[in-house]
Amino acid sequence: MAWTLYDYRDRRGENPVRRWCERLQKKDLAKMNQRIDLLESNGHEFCPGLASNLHGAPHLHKIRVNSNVAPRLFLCKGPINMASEYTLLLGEFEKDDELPEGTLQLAESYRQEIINDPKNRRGLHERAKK
Amino acid sequence: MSELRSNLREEFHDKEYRHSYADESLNTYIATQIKVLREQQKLTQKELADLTGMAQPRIALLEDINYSSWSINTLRRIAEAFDLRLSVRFETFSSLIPETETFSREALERAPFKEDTWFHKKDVQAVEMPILRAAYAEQAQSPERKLGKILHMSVGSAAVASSA
Repeated sequence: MAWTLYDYRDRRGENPVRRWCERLQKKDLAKMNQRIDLLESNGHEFCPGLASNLHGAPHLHKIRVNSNVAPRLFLCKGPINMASEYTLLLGEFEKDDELPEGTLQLAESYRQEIINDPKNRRGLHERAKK
Repeated sequence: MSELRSNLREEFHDKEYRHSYADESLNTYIATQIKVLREQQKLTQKELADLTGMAQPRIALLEDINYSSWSINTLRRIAEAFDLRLSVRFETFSSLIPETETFSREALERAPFKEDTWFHKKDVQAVEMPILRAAYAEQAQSPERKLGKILHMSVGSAAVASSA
């Protein structure tokens, strides 16, 4: 089944996920878009390793792309309709297998903002292009 | 035209982009198909490891779409364990579009030799058409055009066979 993808929107209504994706190198953006296409067509469970679960953040998943800058995209199922939606929350870069401190907490706070105000704090996924 | 088609049609004009996207699709296809085939044959990772002479963690690695260091030799061993043939081909970029759009469990499952109907049914003609259709469809590079041509040819030869 196909899933509907949303992106988190900040207070000004801007899309930080798309902005982050647009900063990726072209080849990393291609890899990230391939992962996002897979998520949209098959959900996160069909392809092993597509969006891993995270210790200490039960509602979040992480898409990883192999690259020298280690881009990571954080997302959640739903959070409004758990059976048909995913929301992309936050992009970050890992260094030495470590994320910047507070990344998961920030992603989780974005998820909460969406739950509290789904109409304004998320919008349909916008594909990043170079 | 679907949104995905329309996006890829535009994005693939960039060489670096299309090769990166295709590389990731290949890794995804291989890892997911190994998992799907293993589940289709009701094998655990440990059982597949035993059949291939590999360690179970290696199978887990091969089933991860983020892994890209597989080799043809390794895949040959997996194919033999599944009693399937390994097919390695060079393809056009347009052929990636239907492959991406139809990517699913059903599209990845394959019958091992003992269930490969064409070899085991007594009435070969009754099973020949769907099997050949599936095989030709798999090979079609430019999906609509080439598949149409092949089906036309198959129907033509079936008509000749039945009139004979």
